[in-house]
Amino acid sequence: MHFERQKLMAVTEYIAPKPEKCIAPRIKAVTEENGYAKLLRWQVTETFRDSKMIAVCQHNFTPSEEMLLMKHRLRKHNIHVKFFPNEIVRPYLSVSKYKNLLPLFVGCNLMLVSPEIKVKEMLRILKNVPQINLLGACVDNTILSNQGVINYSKLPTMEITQGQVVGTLSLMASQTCGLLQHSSVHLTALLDQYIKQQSSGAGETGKAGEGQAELEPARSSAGL
Amino acid sequence: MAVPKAAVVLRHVKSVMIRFCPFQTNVETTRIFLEHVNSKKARASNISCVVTTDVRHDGSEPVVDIMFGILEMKLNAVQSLCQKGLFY
Repeated sequence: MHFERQKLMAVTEYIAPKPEKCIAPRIKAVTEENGYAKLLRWQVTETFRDSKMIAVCQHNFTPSEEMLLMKHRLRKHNIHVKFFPNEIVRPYLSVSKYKNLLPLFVGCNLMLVSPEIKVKEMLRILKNVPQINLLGACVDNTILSNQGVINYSKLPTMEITQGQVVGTLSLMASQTCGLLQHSSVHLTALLDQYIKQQSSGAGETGKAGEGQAELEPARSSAGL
Repeated sequence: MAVPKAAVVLRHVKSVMIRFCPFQTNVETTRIFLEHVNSKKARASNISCVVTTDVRHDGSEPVVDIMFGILEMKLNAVQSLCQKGLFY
């Protein structure tokens, strides 16, 4: 064989892998978790735990002055504006009870969170900022859509609702009382009417009788 | 999903109406488009262009309605256009 061909054949000779290399898996370097990611995850957990109202909005570009004004107005009602990266929020949501909010966390979002439920005020402030679009909310452990939030804001206060419920419940009982008493009340009214008629009729006959009685003595006196 | 930062120019656009249901899983591209249309440069290119967003919860497909100066263009199958590379 020619020398060059011999060299080429020697270099390109197949070397079978040794059995140890085949069986033992390659050890991947363990990447330590970023401390900032841990902090963000802790903040997300705390936010979702402590808030009764969580609104998720699409965040389009907003000038900084408008953003500042909006944050200030919301802060007056104890509503906080939070920004979290989707990579941190999505794993947390997938294992928590807020699983159904997962589709909302796509793209650029912001969260409006509050320990109190102030839906009407939040909607009023968001109306003035057209760049922020409300996508959905979780109010009092109930997931609501945009229309659901609007309907929720139109609900009356708890006291009025409780009064309405009490009124509805007592309506049946009052109707039953009315029905039971209706016949006796009607009878009483009819009897009253009858007595009045009788007394007025007796009064008329009495007057007529008195008139006759007066006439008779007058006649008798006249006759005498 | 990496999106190329192409500049959106709204010079000949009269209005853009975007309607989507955020609880569906196929609205990512629509929302990214909305973000691009509302960007600082896009807004600066045409101040008179009106961008309206309609957020619904009726399971309907996302709709992008673009009104140019003369003609109107409706984009219904946003997802298929994205796959063909004609949309963001």
